[in-house]
Amino acid sequence: MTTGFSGRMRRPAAVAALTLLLSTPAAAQAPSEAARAYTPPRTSDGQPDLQGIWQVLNTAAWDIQDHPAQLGIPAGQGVVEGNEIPYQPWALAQKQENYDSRLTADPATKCYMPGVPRITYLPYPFQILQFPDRVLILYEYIHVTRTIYTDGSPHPDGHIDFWMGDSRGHWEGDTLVVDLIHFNDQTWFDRAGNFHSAALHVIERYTRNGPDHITYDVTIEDPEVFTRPWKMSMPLYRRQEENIQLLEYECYAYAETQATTAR
Amino acid sequence: MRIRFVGSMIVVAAVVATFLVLAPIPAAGQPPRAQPETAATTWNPPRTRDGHPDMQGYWDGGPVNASHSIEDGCCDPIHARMQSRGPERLGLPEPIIVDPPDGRIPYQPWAAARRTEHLFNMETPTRLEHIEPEDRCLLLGAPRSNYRGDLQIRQGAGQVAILYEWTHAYRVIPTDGRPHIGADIHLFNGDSRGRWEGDTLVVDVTNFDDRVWLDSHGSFYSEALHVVERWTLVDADTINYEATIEDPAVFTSPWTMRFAITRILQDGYEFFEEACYEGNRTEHRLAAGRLAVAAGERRLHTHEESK
Repeated sequence: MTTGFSGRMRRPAAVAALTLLLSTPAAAQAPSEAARAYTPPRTSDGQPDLQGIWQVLNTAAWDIQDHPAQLGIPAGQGVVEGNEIPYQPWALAQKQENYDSRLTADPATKCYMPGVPRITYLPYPFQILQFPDRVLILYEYIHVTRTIYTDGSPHPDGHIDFWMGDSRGHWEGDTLVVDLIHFNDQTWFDRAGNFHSAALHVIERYTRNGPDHITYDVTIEDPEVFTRPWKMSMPLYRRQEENIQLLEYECYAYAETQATTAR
Repeated sequence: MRIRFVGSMIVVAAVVATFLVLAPIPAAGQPPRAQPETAATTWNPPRTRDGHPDMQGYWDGGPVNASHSIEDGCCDPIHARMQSRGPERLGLPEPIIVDPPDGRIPYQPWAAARRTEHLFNMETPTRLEHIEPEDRCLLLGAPRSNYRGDLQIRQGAGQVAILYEWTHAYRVIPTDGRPHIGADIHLFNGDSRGRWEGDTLVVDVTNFDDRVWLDSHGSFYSEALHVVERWTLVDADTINYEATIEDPAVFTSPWTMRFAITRILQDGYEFFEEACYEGNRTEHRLAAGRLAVAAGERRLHTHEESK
């Protein structure tokens, strides 16, 4: 069944907007060293300008940790700080089980929305658009969109099982800090079976550190699965091609056509 | 909340219940839409920094009944009963096809025959292409996305972005004069290029994928489709939307649809994540369709009994 919300929701006006954003220890962490020295150009309303079409150049979509090459999969150096994901013992066993069955069990093989942060490091471009009260990210991969409200509005009451979570952002200096909750437990972090529960709390930090680079820092917190918060970091690269634009990767449309043709 | 069109209602209710899909609808009690005037208005709209009319915000797309049939609106008798639709919610409040004047799509003879074939298959699908694109969560392209629920318009330098709540679709419309992408690239949403003619945003859309229909009634087109949309803010809360549809492979002449897109005035309104495909069960539809066809229940989808 589709999530058949009517879409008309009202914000609880009395909720203190930024309390949740600012009360977590992880949110107080600074951007990585590489992100600091550059002074970015501004949008017309004074925000650091993150707009453009961006894409990663790494192998995190297959495995966010260090991994050797396999057929069709390049070797890669991990994007996890310290290369260690602090699983609780039961969860480490689950991760191994996921890994063993990854070719069919990875939700991405079903063309489902991939969650955050995985959407960022899939090998598809995405476009950032900025407005005074929100940042929009449009992804080529199955036309996923995110609206990151930067108007001080709080997360809606929940729990809500969103595939892509609920994004509320604010600016800390030149860094866009995005707080995400309201995830379902159906997405993985990569093809290697790294996973989370619906208690997932993600904090993203977008810091432009050059004309054509953004440093993307992520803090992952999930007390149901991990023993402590942990972090990933990677550069985002501006797509340089003349007339670059987002096209389409309609995963399920192609998969359905193929399945029906094969039947 | 309203039940979405799912085709076959012929199989037993228990089977039907396994694949009913719910979809958002405009809130009840909204004021009736006025058909906007096409004549230029003297009203001076609010403007963005670059001097163009400011159309930003959330909007309620054109008449959602049109997404079932741009000619006849909604519904066939089974859906009308299932959704307890009163007479005021049947059909279309006003025709949206304004040219030709009879409000019908000017199909070439072979294309009219193919569309009829679609209407024979839609209630008892046995192949993927019998199931209409909306029920498969495909991007609906232009113009159909604009009469399938709510829109968010955002304008930036050199581009206009339109986000749709329906299956989280979006379009980015460059207005910087760049050419269309290469002819061999086909997109479900088509490739949009915008320009301002006075205070009207004119969007030229090409490079379509022919798996998308204009409505549930199998109103199809080819990859040669060329759509020209005209978006004009005629008062603070109304956009006059007009689309000219041209496809020499399918239609005898270009034709035009027109409807109003009205601003959503609810304070604090936000889109919800509309995870369509993640809950879709196309294989159930096909299984039910095969059973129904085997039982001899293939028939023409018609609204006659509702009239």
